[in-house]
Amino acid sequence: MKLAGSFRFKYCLTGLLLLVFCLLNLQSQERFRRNPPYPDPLNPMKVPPIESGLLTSGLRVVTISRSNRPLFNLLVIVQAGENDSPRQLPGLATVTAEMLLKGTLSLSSSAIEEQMESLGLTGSIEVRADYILYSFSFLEENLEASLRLIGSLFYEPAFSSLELAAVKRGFYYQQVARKKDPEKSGYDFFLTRMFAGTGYNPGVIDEDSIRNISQKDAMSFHQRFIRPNNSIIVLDGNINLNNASLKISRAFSRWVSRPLDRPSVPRIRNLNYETVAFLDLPSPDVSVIIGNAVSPPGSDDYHALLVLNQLLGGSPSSRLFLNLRESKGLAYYAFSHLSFFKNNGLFWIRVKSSPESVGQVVKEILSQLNSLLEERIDPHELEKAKAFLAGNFPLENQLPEQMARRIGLQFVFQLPSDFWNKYYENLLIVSSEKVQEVARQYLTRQPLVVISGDFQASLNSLRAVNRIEIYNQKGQLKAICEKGVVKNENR
Amino acid sequence: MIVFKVKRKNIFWPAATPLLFLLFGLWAGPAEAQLPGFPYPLSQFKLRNGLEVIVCEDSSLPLVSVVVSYSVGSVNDPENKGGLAFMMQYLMFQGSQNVGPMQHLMYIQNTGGELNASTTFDKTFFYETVPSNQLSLVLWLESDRMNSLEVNEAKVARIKELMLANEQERNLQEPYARYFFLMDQILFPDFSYGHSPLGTKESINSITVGDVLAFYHRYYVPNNAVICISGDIKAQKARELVTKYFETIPRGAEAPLYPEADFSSVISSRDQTIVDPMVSTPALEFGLRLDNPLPAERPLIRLFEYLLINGKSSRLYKLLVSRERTALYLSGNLEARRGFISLKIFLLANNQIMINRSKKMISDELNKFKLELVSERELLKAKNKYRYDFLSQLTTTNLARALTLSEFYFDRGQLPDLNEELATIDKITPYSILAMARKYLQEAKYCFVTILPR
Repeated sequence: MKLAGSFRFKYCLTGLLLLVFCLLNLQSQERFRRNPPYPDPLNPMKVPPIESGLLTSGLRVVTISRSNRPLFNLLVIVQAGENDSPRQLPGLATVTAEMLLKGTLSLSSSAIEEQMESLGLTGSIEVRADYILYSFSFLEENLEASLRLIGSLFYEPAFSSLELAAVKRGFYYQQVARKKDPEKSGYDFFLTRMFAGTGYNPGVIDEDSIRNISQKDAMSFHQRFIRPNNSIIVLDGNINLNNASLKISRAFSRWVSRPLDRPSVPRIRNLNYETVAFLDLPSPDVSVIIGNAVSPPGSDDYHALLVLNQLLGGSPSSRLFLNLRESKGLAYYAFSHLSFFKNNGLFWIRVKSSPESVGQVVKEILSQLNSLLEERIDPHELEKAKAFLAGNFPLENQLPEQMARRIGLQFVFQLPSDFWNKYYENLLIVSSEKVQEVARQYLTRQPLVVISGDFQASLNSLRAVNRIEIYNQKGQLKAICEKGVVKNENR
Repeated sequence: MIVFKVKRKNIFWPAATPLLFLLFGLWAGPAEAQLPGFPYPLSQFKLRNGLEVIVCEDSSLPLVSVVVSYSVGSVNDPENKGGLAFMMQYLMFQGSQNVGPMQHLMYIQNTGGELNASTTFDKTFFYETVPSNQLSLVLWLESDRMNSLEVNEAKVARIKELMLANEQERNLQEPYARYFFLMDQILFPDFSYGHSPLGTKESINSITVGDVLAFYHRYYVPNNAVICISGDIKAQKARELVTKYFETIPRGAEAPLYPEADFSSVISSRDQTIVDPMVSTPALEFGLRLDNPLPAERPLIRLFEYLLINGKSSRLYKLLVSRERTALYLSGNLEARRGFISLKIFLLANNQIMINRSKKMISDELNKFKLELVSERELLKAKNKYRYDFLSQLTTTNLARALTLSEFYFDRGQLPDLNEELATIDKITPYSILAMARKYLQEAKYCFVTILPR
């Protein structure tokens, strides 16, 4: 009996413990697993400590001090780009920029590659309308040797004719391939039309003009624009400004300044475009680019424009993607972007679709734009867009070169020194009224519409469009289509 | 009676003791270690269910990356079910008990974050980068799919359709891709080691819901996984959150051992030509298998890859692309498959004559490693380039760091000691490269596949 009683007690206790444990366990699991957790308060991103100074040559040196990286990132931003190429030689800025890595008076192109790899040094070049950006990264212990090598690229480029021919050939084929891509050629055509008549080249290059670029042209561009008093160096790593300035001034001492004349860039105005431009090229897909001019970076409308862009097409959870792809199945993708130039900005939408759906796509985009102008923005949608932008901002600065670029361009676009540190603050105060105000200010009811792809295959779906101008791949007008009837065909 | 007594004892104490400890919080806590030689504070612990956790603190940006890695890949595909491991990667986004299909993606995107996944020969990675205040969301999502993935006929059918459509698209867009897998089959003539991780139409179609569930329950268990968290988070906080979301997920059975590889020492079909109407430019694929290199030899092999093919000043690039111009495009890399390493080189050329010349040059260059010492200068260049890449992976972004640490942990069972890793590379001499080359660069393990347009 005693034994049986003891057993019963222990049995019950085990059962009880098991029950209590299971209940506790199940309940807690159910509670926290059932719904997503609330996030902690957002920790706003702060730009790392920055110092800036001017060397006697006029070269601006900016340092981003970070103590925990065994690598350095160095950016050289030259404040001249494709807009500074002579009108008859678009592409000169790009070719000249590339030539700086293709040999100096003392090192051949392959010797430069050899030395760069020996130092654990990587480099890349990006040429835009307003600037050329060289990005380098290297081992901390090779700082001085890397600076010496990089410096020599800028003050004594060789511009050998053999290398120039190879650079031109490579660049030519790149441009030819770009022309065949409906989205890239469509965007180039869109840029040309937006800036038409201003004399400003937003970075569009005609492959035929590349052949005409000579050694003399490249040397002249280098002499005129690639100068220390037209450049900014951003050095990101374990270094302070004084030390960086000393080392950079030594390494770049033979890079001499010259007087510069920087013409002002005209501001473009929005027009009501009554015709659709169709760039006719063979392709199974069709790209649609629709856009407007907006204010340049740093304007009071900047943060509201970011929110507007996010609402409409900044990500796959924005209106355009959800509507055109997920809901209606009309497009492979649909996004919108903001692009900034000196004194100008562009808001543009890009959609990849099929010839059968393109007419419906244009109609839907215009309707989405109009709804922004007319309908009140749902506060929940607004907050979602702002939350995305706030959360995504540090992701856009993850790579050291991304951060260095952001800081460097702050000087190029003459943004206030606290511009990026006030990003969250300025984003949070954007209201739905402000977004709508900005939309009404910049988004016209008849924005510029550029379609690129196979016109004949797309004609059926575009019959409702009043007037379409059809251009060939060279950008020459070849026909006009009114309500589905093609006229003035020159083919 | 005796039997009864024994049973009674067995029931009570084993069951009650842990419960009592659990209820009163007396269970021994997980071990934690601070590792030296790393530019960011690094700690490591293990949950009771066997889940390994690595936390790396870096507060330079308010971001955090989470990498959940499972020790499973195409090597674990059952015979005739090639593509199953890869299919799991897709299915992990198709919903779990508390997260609807594709909601994982939506939750992360709404935070402004990014996510992705990848499947290799023996590992599967799921990773997210989000603002650091959203770490608990990521752990909630990842724990839900580790705990309660929901799979049904419709989901499996949809993923099969998607995989087959992607495969068709890949064949059109990247006509050379199939030859990379062909090379694997030649170098590793064994289903587990050599089949395409993407599967074939037949193998994908033969996968059933039962196969998927068995695979999931066998490999997607905490004791077969590692979580690495890197970013703006304190180790203590990370530990609390990981414990909350993962510790109650039941431990699974121990994953079976890797299939033993059984390759004959000589590679068959060592030189073959294929005419393919889908390709527009002649191409050459070269493969070399290195059998059972010792752990100490792996850094040597890595450095050999840098000397041979990594970068524009590497031997083959300078010879084939810059000097002789027999190749229009050249790339190559090493790939480890447990006890084996393969070196693969791919090039495009103008015509078959250039292909043949390239073949000879590759063989000659490999032979040179067996006959001549590399110069100190050339070796230093390779070391510096390796050093740059290694440090870049560990210090550039939280995600790259978390992926590298996870891989290290899986491959070596421990985290890297940065100083030791770099010192190992520094100690390599031209003689050790020569010895490595003589041991492993055997012509019987070379293989060439020429792909010609019609």
